[in-house]
Amino acid sequence: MMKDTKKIVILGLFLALAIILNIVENVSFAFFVIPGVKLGLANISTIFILYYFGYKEMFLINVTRVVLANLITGLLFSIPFTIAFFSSVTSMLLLYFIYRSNKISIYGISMIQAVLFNTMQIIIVCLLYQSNVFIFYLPYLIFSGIATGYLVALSAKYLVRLIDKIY
Amino acid sequence: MSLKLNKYDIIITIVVALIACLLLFNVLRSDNQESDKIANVYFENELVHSFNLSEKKEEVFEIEATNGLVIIETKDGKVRVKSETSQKNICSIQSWSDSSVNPIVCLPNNLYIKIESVEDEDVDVFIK
Amino acid sequence: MKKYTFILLILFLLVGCSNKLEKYSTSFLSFDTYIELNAYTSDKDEFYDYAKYTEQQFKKYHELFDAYNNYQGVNNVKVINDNAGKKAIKVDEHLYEVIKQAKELYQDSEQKNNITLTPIVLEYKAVQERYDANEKVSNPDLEMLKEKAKCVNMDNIILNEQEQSIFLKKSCSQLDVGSVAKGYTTDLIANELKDKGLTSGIINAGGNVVVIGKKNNSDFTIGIANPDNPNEAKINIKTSDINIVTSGDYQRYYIVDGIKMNHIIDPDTLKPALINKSVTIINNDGLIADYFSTECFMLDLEKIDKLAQKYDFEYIVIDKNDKITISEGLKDVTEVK
Repeated sequence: MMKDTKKIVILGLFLALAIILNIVENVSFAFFVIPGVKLGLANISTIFILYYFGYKEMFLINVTRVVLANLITGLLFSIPFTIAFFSSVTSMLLLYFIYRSNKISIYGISMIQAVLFNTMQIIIVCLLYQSNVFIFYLPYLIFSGIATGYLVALSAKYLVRLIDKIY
Repeated sequence: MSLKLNKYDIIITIVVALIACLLLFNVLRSDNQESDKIANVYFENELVHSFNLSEKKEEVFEIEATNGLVIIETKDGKVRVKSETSQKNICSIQSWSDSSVNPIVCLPNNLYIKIESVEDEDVDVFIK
Repeated sequence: MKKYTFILLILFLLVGCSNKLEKYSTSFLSFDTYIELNAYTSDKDEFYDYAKYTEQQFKKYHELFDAYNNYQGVNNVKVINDNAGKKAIKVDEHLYEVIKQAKELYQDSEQKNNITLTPIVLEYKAVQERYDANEKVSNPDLEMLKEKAKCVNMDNIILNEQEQSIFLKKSCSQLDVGSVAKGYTTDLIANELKDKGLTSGIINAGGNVVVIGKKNNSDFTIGIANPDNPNEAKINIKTSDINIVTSGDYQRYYIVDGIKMNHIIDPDTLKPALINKSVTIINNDGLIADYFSTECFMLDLEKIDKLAQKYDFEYIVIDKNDKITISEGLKDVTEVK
């Protein structure tokens, strides 16, 4: 059991990391055709927290991250924010069932989180713009979700080992 | 949640990948058929010719209509009636069109050109 | 297993994305004009039913309101005209209704839309057809028109409500319901389609538009052509569940001495009305919208506004100087380009 101060410190650290990754991602991956649709690098932090602390913490930190990152970049309550917010919440809610089954490793969870998040992004964009045309991107986003999912898991795993060594 | 890759990960990855492939297949199939902009020529309410405007090529179609010869051509993704016999040029005056809300209608010749497109125009109907 | 429920959840959500009504469209030539039906239905078969029915009904009412052709078994306007001065003709309830309303509206309004003006209208139409054939033309002789105008009188129409019959008193009287029939018909067919289950769509019958319901919960956008450049939309209106009829000077006309002589003739001057270029009337009743789109085309703004108050319709007027006037009730939903 980790002491409370240590927990707060680490949570704070990873919240900051998540925000930075979110902002950097916004700036560098601007080639994605649909505005507001993101790769999801900040999930490195999310997955780490899920493993290290648990579901509740992950949910809280993730939602806070989305709000703060958008607040800082001036996108609060804009379309990219709406997409990110609702995608996060719904994908995390769905993730709960997978997480509880306890059969899948960090790789699987991360991949499912990434795929779910991307899928929810498309669905929400569909609803927002009242058009089905965006379904076209879904297969590609699922594949990229699988890939980023595994990469994120790898990075999160590395961070777990790192934090363990430090503490 | 373990840190090691196990067989359930593999299974679920494959399942997800399969779903993505299925979607891809469906999307590609419907996309090819419907996204082109087609100009359909109707004479006496029957379809007599189709131009694929999305191919952006130059094509000419001639038809002996109610009042005489009507010549229709496409260029740069637009269609127009180039010439018609007898009447005032009701049709050719309407000039080039590439919009689904702007059909070219030649009542005296019982002919009209309707453009089918999946694009959204900014009006739903156009009163001319 | 939880794994499978999640997969099912995703598929379910994806299906949810595409549960909207789809847009289908059909068009055909009928009623002497180009007619288009756009409808939002759940599947193609449902649309096909509506499309077939629409085409059928337009054909039926075209025959009923036709003033120039006979159809077996149909007591249409031509039959009434052929029996002018001779006998009353029993007609279909719709034809009776149209003539009855045209007469009532005439009596209570500015008396510009006269369905017995036919002999005069035909003289101008003949000139226009010669003009279309690239012949040299001149305006019809005014004295000749005045002679023909002796046959023009709405009082010549005798209605018999019990018999549901129409009798034209003078043998030279001729009816043409073209200025009210299309509006009445499109509205009627739209209501029949609604009864059949159509919740969302538009019928455009050569300038007579009926909007049914809404487009997936938002308004439809209707574009009105620029009289000086009919290929572009000058004014956009956002609306739902209503009738819109436009009369304009830019489709049927001929030019003499540099003046565009349109097809809407003023019964008082026996010449085309040159006050406005385009008048659009919006109302819940298609016949009223059609009737007044013709009548108001011949009136100045003051009179149009009075009629609008009396009959509760909205209007958009583009006058001969290109000045655009939009009635109060439309200002919020109209955009001028």
